[in-house]
Amino acid sequence: MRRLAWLPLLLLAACRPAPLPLVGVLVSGPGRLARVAGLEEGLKAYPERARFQVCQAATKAGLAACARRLEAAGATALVTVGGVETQAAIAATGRVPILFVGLAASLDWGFFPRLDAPGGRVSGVDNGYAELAGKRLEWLVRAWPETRRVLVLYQPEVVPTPRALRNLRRAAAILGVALDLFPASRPQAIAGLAERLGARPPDAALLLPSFVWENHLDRVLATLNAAGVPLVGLNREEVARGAALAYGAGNRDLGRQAAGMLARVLAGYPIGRLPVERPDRPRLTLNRRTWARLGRTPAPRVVDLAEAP
Amino acid sequence: MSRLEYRFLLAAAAAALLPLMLVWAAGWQLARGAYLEAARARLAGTALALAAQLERRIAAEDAVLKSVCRLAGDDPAWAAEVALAALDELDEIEVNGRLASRFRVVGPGDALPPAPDGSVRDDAWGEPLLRRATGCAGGRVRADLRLRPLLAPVGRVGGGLRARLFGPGGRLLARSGPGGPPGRWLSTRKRLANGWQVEVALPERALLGPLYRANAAMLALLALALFASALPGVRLGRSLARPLGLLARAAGDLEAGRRPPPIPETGPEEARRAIRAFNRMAEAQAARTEALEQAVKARTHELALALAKARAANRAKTRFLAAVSHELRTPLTSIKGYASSLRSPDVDWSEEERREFLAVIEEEADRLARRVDDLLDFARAERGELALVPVPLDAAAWLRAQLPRLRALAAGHPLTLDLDPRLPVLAADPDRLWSLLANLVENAARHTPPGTPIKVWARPAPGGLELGVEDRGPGIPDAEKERVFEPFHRLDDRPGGSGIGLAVARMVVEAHGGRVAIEDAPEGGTRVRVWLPAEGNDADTGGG
Repeated sequence: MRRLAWLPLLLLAACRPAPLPLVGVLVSGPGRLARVAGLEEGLKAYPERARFQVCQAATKAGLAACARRLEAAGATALVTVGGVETQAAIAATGRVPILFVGLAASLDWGFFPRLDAPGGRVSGVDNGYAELAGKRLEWLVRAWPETRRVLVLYQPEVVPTPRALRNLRRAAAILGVALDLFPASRPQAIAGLAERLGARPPDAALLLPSFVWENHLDRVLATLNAAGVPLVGLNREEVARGAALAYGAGNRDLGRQAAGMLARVLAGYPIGRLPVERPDRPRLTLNRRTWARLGRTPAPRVVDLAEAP
Repeated sequence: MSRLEYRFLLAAAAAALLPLMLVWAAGWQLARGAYLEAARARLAGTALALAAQLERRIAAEDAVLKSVCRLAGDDPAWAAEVALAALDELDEIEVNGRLASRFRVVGPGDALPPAPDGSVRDDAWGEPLLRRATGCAGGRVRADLRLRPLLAPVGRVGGGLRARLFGPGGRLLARSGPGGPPGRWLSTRKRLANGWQVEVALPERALLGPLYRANAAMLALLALALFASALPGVRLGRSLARPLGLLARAAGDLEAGRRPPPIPETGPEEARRAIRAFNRMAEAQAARTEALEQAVKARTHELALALAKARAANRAKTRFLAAVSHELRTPLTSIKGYASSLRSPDVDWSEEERREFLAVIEEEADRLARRVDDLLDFARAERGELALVPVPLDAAAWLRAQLPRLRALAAGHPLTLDLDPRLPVLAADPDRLWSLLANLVENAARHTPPGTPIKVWARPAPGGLELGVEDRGPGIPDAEKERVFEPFHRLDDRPGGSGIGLAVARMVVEAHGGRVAIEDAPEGGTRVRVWLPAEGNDADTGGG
């Protein structure tokens, strides 16, 4: 009987279900991990299953190494949570499909020639943050009609910036708002924000898509709130952290929306035939506590339309 | 059960795999049909649910747009914002000329492009937008609604479903995802209340994937079973084909007249029995052929001998005719010569000469008569008609009385007669006996050199007497001693004689119940010994 003791183990091994397909996730910082959480949560609504392996790196080289390692591990797909991650994944891998979750100005990155039929091996959900920059300014004006001058916090070298600024300038022209620009390419540059606020205080600050600003948002919010300047953020998560207002798809919502695309990729559909999607649910979110702390009262109709973070 | 039957059973089992495969194919078709039917039911249920969802959503959109229309009179901008907040799929809305957008800031003078109610156009992202327009007492509302979010829940149904929304005229309004993999699709459509149709489809390959895999495994097993079952069939075929081939080759050899080697016994018992029977048959056939060949050979030999004998006889007859002609012509020539000489008017012959001439003519006539008598006797004897007129004959007296005639026959040879005084009395035909004696003496005289003696003797012998004629000639080889009595046989083509003298002599001896033999004489030459029975002794009891 001892000799046959291995038999149940063998049968157990034979009956073990096939391993789930691996989905690798590239993240440049913790600020966008909520998108991955939303993706996992959203995938539960589909019949397809996968195991996720997150690889986080702050630099492009680190992200490329992550992408190579995940492809070598047999990943069925790579999920990226931003433009830098997507760029690194494309450069470092050769065949694996790449699904981005919440990429801003996706067409401007040059990953594909058109949105409705991207072709190749890259597609995903655009967060619309570049296109919604003007709308955020509009909601700010509606919530605080006295707004005359807005400080724009942006990172000049990131791809979505030109499109976002274009939208923003058009909106500012329509709304009659003056824009002050405050670029920051490195985290150290954020330190100059307080001095800038002190020199010429704006009515509000508006954040454009930028991994430098997003990854140091708490410091930025502390500086702005200390100066009594409300921040118009990108999404509800930033409102929850202290921004006064935001209009855009939340990170979790973006993840949930991308889950449908990931399910199709896992089912075997070629990712190049999946159109790039706009966010289905851009939300107006308002943090009443922030407004109260700043000593301001937003317009009641905006408050009625907005959601709490 | 014999081995052959056993092998046939295995072959039949192999053949049974074919119906099994047919059954499997039918089963596959049935299972596939049932699978597809179940999938169709699932698709129909999904389409129904999706249609209901769409109809509910369309009804909700209608309700919101109508509400907005009612609010339009008070504050169109606010009404538009309310609509955007209430409907996620609403992209842009125009209320009494005031435009509101979800994604862009609207400037002065911005308005929706003109489009009929229910029309579909693509926005800058390639997404289809549905134009809805409604009017009420408060004003007029136009809206562009995104269709894709409406179909997004279809993907959650799972199993790779694809949903498409068709408008009036079958125009594709929206689709839930990409086209999907190539191949056949199983689809079902459901008509909405507004005339649109929603289609839910599923790729057949993905649907039947598990069934295909099971089918492939089963087909592989069937192929394996078929291969395994074919092995006995192959062995059966070989076990029958090999002995049959050997039999056919051996039969071909037999047909060509060759003797085939024995076929090795192989295959099942039945084939072995057939091979054994064939081998026996081939062996018997070979034996019969060999016996027949021997008989033919023997018969051919006999025929060759007979032919040689006939040819020899023919040659002998030719020689006989020549000899007879010569034998007859010689005395005739003498007779004609002497007779012509006697009648010649120019010669005056003396009487003595005339008598001498007449004596020669008489002698030659006698000689001619003997030759003719010999021929007649031979012919009679050949026909079995040689008649004897036996009379009691005192052998000694009769022989002494014939001495002058014998000496005349042996002209040129001294002839002596040695008679025993105790010679018995014979019962013999004197004319035939003379013919016998004359032939023997004349034969001795003809074949011996002139001057050599010829001895005729007679002495009593048991049951009769023995008569002998001896000469001093060259003798007769032993191989010819018996043949010289054959008619027309002549020894070494020696000149003279007709070849029937000794044959007539033996016929005469045998007609008298006696025997004749030739042997070498003690003093050289030839001795002919004749045994003749004494009177009253018919039995052949004599020795010699």
